[in-house]
Amino acid sequence: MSNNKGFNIVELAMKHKQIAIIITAVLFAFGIFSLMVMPRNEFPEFTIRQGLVVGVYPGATSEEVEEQLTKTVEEFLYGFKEVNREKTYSISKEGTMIVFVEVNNNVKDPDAFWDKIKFGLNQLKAQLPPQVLALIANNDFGDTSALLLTIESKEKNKKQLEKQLEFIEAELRKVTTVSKVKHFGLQNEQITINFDKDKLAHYGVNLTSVLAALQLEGSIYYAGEIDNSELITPIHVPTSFRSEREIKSQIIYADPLGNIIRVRDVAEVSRGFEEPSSYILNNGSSAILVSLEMQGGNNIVQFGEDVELALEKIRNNIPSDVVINKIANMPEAVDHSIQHFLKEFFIAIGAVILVTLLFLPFRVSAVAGITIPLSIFITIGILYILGIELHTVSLAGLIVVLGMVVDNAIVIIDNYVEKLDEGMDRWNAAIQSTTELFVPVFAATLCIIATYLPMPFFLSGQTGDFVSSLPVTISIALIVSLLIATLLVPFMCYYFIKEGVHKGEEEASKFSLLNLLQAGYNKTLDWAFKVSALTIFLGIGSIVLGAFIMSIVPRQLYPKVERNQFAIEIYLQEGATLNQTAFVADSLRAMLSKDERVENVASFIGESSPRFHTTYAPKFPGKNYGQLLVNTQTDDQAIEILAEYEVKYRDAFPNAYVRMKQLDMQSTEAPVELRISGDDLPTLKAMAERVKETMEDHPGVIWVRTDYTNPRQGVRINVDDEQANRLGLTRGAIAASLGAGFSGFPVGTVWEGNYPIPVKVINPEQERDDYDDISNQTVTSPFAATPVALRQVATINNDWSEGQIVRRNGIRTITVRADLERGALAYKILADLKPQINELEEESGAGLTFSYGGEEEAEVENYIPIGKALGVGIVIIFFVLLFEFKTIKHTLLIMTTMPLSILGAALGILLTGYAFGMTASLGVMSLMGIVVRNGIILVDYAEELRHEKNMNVIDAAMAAGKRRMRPIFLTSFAAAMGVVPMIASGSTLWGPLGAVVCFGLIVSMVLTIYVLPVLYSQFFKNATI
Amino acid sequence: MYRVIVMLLFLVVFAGCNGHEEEKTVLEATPKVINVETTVVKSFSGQTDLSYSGLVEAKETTPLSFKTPGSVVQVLVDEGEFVKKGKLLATLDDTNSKSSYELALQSKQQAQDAYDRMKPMKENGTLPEIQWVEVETGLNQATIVAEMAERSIEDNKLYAPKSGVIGDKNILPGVNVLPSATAFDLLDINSVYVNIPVPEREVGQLKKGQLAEVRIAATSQSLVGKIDRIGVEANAISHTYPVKILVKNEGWNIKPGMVCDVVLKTDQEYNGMLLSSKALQLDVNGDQYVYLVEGDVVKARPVSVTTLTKNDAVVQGLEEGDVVVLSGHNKLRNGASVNVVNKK
Repeated sequence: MSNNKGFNIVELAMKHKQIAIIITAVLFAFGIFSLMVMPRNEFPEFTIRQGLVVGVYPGATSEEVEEQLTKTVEEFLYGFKEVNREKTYSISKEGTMIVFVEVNNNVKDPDAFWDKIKFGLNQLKAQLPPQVLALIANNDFGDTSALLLTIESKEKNKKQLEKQLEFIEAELRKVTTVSKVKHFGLQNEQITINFDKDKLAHYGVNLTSVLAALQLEGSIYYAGEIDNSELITPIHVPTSFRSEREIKSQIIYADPLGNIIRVRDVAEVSRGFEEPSSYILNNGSSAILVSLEMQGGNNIVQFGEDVELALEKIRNNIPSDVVINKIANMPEAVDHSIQHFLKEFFIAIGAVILVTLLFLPFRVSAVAGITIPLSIFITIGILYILGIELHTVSLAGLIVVLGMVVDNAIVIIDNYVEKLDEGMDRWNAAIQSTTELFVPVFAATLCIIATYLPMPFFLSGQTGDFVSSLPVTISIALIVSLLIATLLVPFMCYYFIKEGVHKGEEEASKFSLLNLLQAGYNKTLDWAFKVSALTIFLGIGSIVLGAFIMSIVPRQLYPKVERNQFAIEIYLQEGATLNQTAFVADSLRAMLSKDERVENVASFIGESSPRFHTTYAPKFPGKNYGQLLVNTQTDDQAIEILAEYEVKYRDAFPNAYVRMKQLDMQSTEAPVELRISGDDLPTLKAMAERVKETMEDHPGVIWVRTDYTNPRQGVRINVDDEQANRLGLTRGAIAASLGAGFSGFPVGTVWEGNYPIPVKVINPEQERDDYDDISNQTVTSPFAATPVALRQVATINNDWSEGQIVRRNGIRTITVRADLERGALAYKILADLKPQINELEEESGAGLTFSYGGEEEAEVENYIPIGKALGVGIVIIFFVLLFEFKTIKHTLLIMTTMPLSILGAALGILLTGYAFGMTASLGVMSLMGIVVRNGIILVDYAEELRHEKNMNVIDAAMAAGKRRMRPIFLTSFAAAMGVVPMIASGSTLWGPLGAVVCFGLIVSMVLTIYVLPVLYSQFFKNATI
Repeated sequence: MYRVIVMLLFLVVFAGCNGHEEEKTVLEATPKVINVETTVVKSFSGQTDLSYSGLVEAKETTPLSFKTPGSVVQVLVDEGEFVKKGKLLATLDDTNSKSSYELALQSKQQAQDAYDRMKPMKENGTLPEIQWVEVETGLNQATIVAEMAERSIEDNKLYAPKSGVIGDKNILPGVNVLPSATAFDLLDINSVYVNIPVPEREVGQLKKGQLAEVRIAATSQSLVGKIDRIGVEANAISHTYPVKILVKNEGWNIKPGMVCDVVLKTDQEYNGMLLSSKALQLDVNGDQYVYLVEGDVVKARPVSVTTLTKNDAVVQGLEEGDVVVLSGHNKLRNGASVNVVNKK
């Protein structure tokens, strides 16, 4: 035992009380200071371990992209051990490849890995078809915007707004904590040249050479420099295009006879805004979006204030019709939730102090109570030094340990008072009470820390990030409280508590509440000993009942996020036009705007908003996709509207599915996901279709889709090669001509000051809007003698290609995703579906592999590591106890308190109606650590009675129970009260934790103080004294 | 006391279970009816349009040239000018011709004089017959020469042989011309030809006399013409056949060299149903189908596509009047109940 050392230190601390007091005071003050300046966040920063590799291969169908591009890139990526193969998947679709690369959790420096990838991709590009235009890696994918601003104006067009934007961005960049400023939704002006194909044909001018001529004129070239022995002067050949007028008079053909053809002779040149492929509206009017990111490690609330200051300055300097709105405001959300949580935190401190005041004499409770703020603020100070942010997780950790923090002090004070009662003098009582209890208190503290300590080793990924601060916070708080209890409390006891409490029986009335409880307990404990078998049976019964309740309570790993903001996603079929998407988005927007609960609606047509919530990944832009970002006045209204509109509008538009998306802590795309892997595409798709129908038939399922989407319809040009070749045309030339005609061909840029205006050659609109225009497109090539209409060398028909092909771990994998009714629990619906899906799997034979994603996967990925961590924690507790009590019997006896807490935890979830999730399982872990302490205190005392006072087993057990009931009750009750504000707040994230801890503590306390003494007597019935 | 607690617990558990059962019954209630947009299938017996870019040519071009060589003195018309038949267009220097004529006249007088003198002698028979013939022939020859010389003065003038428009003008005063060189092109543009290059695969579909729509961008006119000639020899470079469409040119607005659009209806018919290609779907086996609305439910119906025209596809496998789902496929499956929200 480290008794000697402890003795010395305790006595030393008492002797040199000034040092202890001053150190404490300084640390306390520093803690208060830290609380004010600490970086704040709603949640710990999640490392998004996903990055993208994007390849552009224009003209290739999904299948061609997969075959020629994706497979090679995948092979390259899977060569790296840092890549998590199971979670890496690729999407091959019309002209584009996207690989979502998941970096293994154990990679410490993902940036270095990405540099390696970027370098490798450059080399890889040489092996790919030359038509692959770009192959780039993007690891900014996980960056989250702290603020999204919209800039709109009733009077100004996009070009004029862009001028304002430059100023706004420059001002915002001046805020030191701003890291990235990005803008979206700009619309460029462009100059279009529409050649008249008839005229070109009859002038005999070849379009290819015209394009070449135009392109050369639009660029900057190096023209050398001249050294005339006096001055070296560079020679400049400025680009000729300064305006559309110059383009018009550009000569594209000249012959020796002096005949010239200018652009304007054969083409219309016009200037206007380019047709957007996506755009942003705020409340229905055109807007530019600015996204601000914050440099890590700063106080986001402060960041919000700094930006607001900058915005005020900006508002004074821009025209009044330019309006800036915040549509996603993380600083506010964080401030809101942290303030809320801090309030709960202080209420919790108050509640714990109140409990001690209620049950203990004033002076005793004052000493115990003062240790709480001392320990907590010193802990906060240390957290600040360690760089841990103030967020709900670290605060929750502090709230959970509140009860335990006060425990250490209470146990020691209780012992001190008892010593006084026994007639010991104050000085010695203070020292002895502490040294006596140092070991059990230390062991109990170790046990609690032990439950959290294995967490970082087992949990990884999002959950790992989420809980990473808990072990540190809790360990520090407990160690600090232990130090305060052993170094400061003895002195405070000595100073404040001058007399014992048990002067005689007549005193009883003074502490009626506690004594009443004590009396009731003494009586009932006697009964319990009389029917010891029943007591033990009830104990076991409680475990069984607890386990049963656990199995029926609803489970949900992470709850939805409660925020006054939600998103609406609009999915149209493949190939839908931007206008169709806009129509749906705008109809919804109009309906929402009429709702008075709605404050703001930002629409993203053809794209999605930048990531404004860590786990809400933006979708890839597509004209058939739209997103609305809706802000409501209060958090509850968001949920109301979601529920209302989901039923009303999700299928209201025939051509679109409207998905109501409440922000979520989980990054899975849908709660129920089934992945079917195999090589044969038709078999895969047929199976996916059957699975989809099976899922659709379940009443709880509202929308099922596969990630292969629908096949994409296209136009196939069947080239008559012989004809074409005879005319000097190749497929490439035909494709190039069509591409230039229908999508345009960039020929240069006109610089208007610093405003670039791209110049594009394209067919006039009426010559590129129906299928006949394809047949009539003039095709030409540098080798073709004369331009001819496409239909001379080809016929057209429709064709189909895969909407997109998704490969996971290098195997074609269709994911069937199902969205569920609001409030439905994924695992329950999946349980209903599984028999049917299993049947399908059996039918499919060996060719296909089924695996589940969604919440099921998330649960497996999270609960198994949590289970492991808990298991290891229990093993550590076992050894801590073994070291203290030396025998396996004692150890196991104390550990029986753990299962006794199950019933309480289960009841907590059941009665409060929360779902059992990630935080609830953290609650269970905490509970395991805390309840062991009760066992230690009880058994330790019984042992002492038995060995030092030579009591027999039954007497010792009873006496220990009676004597230790009070501290056990007090500590448990105090800890339980500490988490009550958490439950009362109704937070779906933290409520379950509070419920588990609160009910778990109380129920387990009751069970422990009856069952444990009885068990003790049974365990050591035959023991020789 | 414990029993009470346990009892309470059981009650709570039961209450919980009951609650869950209620939730389930609520979920069962709604059968799914899916909103769709539909369209009615129209029959299409289509001639597909063929469109070409054509060039206006004059119907006839007469190259005019002088009969004699000479130096141009006067040019009386300009390019593009309308001329009536018989109008003087240009003259050559006629001094030589006139001199030749004077010369011939002199010779003629001389011969006449000889003739006049010899005539009484012939009449009184003093002149031998042979000499008389010589004098008579001399006079006749001189007369013819004089007439020729007189006519060749006229040859220095170029008149319009018929009414028309002057196309090309190749002479200027002072230029020496040879009879073979074309001085003017006289164009007949009362009606004009539009020349279109027709690819070999389409030329077989065209017939003489077939109507064609001609749109001339320069004059914003839209006219109807007839195919007048179908070339028999392909252009060696572009492998197209020249096809000429005769178009009346009242008011002479259409000028040769103008570029125009020509649309021809072909005889080749696509019989089928006209349907927006948006309605087409592909099943997992790679077959195309559409959803046919029958009453309140949809049935998948396989179709095939013949060709694409304008914004639609020509499909086989449907009948006129069939109601087909235009959008909302993603939520449908064979036999699903639908609610038609929008008919097109």
